[in-house]
Amino acid sequence: MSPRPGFVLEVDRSTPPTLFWHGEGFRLEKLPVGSRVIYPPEPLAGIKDPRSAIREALDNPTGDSAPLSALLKPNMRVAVCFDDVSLPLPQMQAPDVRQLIIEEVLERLAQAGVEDIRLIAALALHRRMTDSELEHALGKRVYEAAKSAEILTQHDAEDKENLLFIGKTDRGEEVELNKYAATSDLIIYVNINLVSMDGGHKSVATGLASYRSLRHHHNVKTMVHSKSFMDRDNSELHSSNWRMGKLIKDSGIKIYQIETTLNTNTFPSQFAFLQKREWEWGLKDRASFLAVSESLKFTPPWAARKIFQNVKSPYGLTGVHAGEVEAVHRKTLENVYKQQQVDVTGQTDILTIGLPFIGPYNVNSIMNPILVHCLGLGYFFNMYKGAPLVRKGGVVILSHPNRPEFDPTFHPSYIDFFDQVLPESTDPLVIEKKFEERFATDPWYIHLYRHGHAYHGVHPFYMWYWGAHALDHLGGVIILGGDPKTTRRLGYQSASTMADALEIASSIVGRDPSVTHLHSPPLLMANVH
Amino acid sequence: MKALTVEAKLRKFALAKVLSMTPSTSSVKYGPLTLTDSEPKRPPNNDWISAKPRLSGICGSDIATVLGSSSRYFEPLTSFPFVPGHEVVADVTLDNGLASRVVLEPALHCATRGLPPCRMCQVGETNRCESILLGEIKKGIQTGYCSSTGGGWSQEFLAHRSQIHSIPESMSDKDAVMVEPFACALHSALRIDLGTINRVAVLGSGTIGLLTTAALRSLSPNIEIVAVAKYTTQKAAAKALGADQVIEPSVFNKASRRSSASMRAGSWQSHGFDVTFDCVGRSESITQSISATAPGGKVILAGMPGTSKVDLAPLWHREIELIGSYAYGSEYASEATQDLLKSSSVAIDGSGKFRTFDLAIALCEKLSLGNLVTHTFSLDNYEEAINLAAQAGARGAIKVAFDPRKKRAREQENR
Repeated sequence: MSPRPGFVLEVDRSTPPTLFWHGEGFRLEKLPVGSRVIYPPEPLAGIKDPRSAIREALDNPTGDSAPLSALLKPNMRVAVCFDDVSLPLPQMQAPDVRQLIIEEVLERLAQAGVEDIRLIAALALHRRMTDSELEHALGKRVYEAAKSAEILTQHDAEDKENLLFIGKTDRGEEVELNKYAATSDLIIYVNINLVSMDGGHKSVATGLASYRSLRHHHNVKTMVHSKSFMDRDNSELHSSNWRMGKLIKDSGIKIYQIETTLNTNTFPSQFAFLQKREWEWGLKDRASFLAVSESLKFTPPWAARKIFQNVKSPYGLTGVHAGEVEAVHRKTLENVYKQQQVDVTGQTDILTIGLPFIGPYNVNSIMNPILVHCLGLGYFFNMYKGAPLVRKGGVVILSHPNRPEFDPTFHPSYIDFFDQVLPESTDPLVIEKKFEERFATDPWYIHLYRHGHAYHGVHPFYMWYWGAHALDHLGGVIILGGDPKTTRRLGYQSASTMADALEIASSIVGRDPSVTHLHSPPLLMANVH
Repeated sequence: MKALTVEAKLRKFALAKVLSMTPSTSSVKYGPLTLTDSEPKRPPNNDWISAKPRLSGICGSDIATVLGSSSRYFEPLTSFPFVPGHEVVADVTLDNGLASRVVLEPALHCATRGLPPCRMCQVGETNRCESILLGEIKKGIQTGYCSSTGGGWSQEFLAHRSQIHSIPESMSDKDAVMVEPFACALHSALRIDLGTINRVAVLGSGTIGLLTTAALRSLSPNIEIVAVAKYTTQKAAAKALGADQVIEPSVFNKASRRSSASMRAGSWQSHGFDVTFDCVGRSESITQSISATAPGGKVILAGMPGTSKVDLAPLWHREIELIGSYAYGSEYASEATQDLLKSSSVAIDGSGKFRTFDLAIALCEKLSLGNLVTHTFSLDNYEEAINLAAQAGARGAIKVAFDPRKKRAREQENR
């Protein structure tokens, strides 16, 4: 039976309560009659033989590109760059698709007699991956071989000696990249496209760039004008990256792009109920839900976090394309939309979203309040094409515990951002103007980014800007079940029950509002007509 | 005449101290302060004059005294029984028979004692007077700690003519009662060369902290001021008085590290604020101030400290200067203060100095510092007044003052 497409349910009296993610837990909420619930499409079938599909893609490139083997010569220098730990979410069950691709790429490099190779984790300003994370992404064999040969590196956006200024785009945007990669004869970029924001020129122009370069598109103005940043053709974030991509290409840097797409088979069998529509839950699903949710009630947050962070997704590969960046990316987007897109008619007054335990920036870590903001108002709010799911001046209700907890190793500058910046202002423009540069150039954060596993000092600012379009668009944000004091710090209102949240929202949008729930993850992208 | 009087009863001091360490609010009741009714003191000679307080502030040092928690260092410098109250705006009748509103400069220096000026008074540093044990009046560093003069927490006390300063008609009593503590804050700010520093922290946003912020902003419009405030009212006031940033006490050292782009290891950090004003005066705040200050920087003790336990290794290693700041006297008119002194019409003497108190009088009205007086009480209600002042921040108060003219029945008009 072929997987069913996404679906918009209208809640009636017989509709069972709707499952909301709530951090490392869940809530069952009875939504008002007439509310809509948007369910994601069921997972597409994964490719049965991923290794063959990869070989096929490398030999039959997309767009104006020769097959990989034809591009390789002995004595050339090749940088094999790959997406970091922020993708996919949760991490996929071994073998990771990056491992499969890189094994095949290394095989071909060896066949061609290429010896000057470096593997580079394209971190941008993300934290350095830990050894175990690298091993998981690359597989034990590649990891150990590359490590012992000292060819496994992670992009360091603060290593001034290893950055190369490429030039400026026609809009004056500076492009500064990893020098080793930029001076290689070929960059082979290995991507995982979990959402439509990923990939394309963003892979190199962002993943291998420095703050000097990133600040031209990671800023409030760009984010407010990216409607949405998940929609490449209407995203100023992507337009900027594409201009940079053109400059990179024109400067003679050769990129062989390999992009992959995954289905939405996100959760292993013990969490199967998370991928089903509530009224279709069988006895086993109900039992699993009760067992999980009841046991979580007695589990301290740190332990629940550990349980969930150990979840590895049984994703299936739905596509792999290789060759010229833009042509490859067009194919990729087709695949992403095919898996995630759901047609929705009309906007809503109130959008409800349950936020899960994980986002791109807290893998093996804590979803701190800044990341709650980013995940809710950045990622989920922007999962649309056409128009936002919620109308201008509408309200978003986010369900999450929103505890004032931080990981001091991964997120040190987030702590200072929360303690010292947000009490001053929550306005992205004010924050950007008054605080960004100091955080970005702070030598302590730079030290921790370079030598520890810390996100760059400027990173919490980007997370805040990620929500700038939503903040500009919305009339209010309510966090359901969140720590009230922390919620106030973010500039939002808090509610302990859904009834209270809807009551507060009504005071903003008016009586008898329309309500829509985004039933995700698994991920979905609303195509709003 | 009603007056609140502190008597030398050690048991009462001890009881107040013990009770003040508990949640009990009875430490004032059982402490050394009592409401007395007696004949007013008569001026001993024409140099002294009777003053009838309109408002008299409750200072941190007063609270420490009546709760038995101030340093015993002051015991031999005080004469009992005494009437506290040194932040005073009062009515006096001048020689010409005209009534005048005045503020009190409370230091009991050589001139008030009928003595020729000591080495300190000669150079205008009356806060450092060497004669506080000598002369025509009993010992005491200020009005409010001397049994000969009485003090502001009464319906009448004695002021030496050299202590009183007439104030303009336009100046409200609330602005006027802030003159004395503001002079202390100006002196603290002037303990450093403001022309050479960029970033300062003010740790604590009680009255002294807020006034220090106001003083720094008045004296140096371009300096970056980070104020540390715990309570909502304090945060709003610090911002209104010119702090560039207001932060919670719990993040003070992190903010110091971040704002100075320092490296860090344990309590060591490579840089910090150029100057930190400790307006709390506790072991923890002094420790924090030392850590948060840049190597070679200065920590000004603006809040009255007591016996403290502080690890001085960071002070030694990072060559921090720990500087006391008590009251005020005369200040050098530096280049940085010239414009302000000129616009405030403050006189500069032949040695290039001006009186701190003169500048405080000139600025208090301009800065509307009377807004910081959040509560006034009659003398009868002294227990409630002092309990509120002791927990001012937590209870939304800033400066609490006595209005000795007020009757208990009129307390409803407090706010």
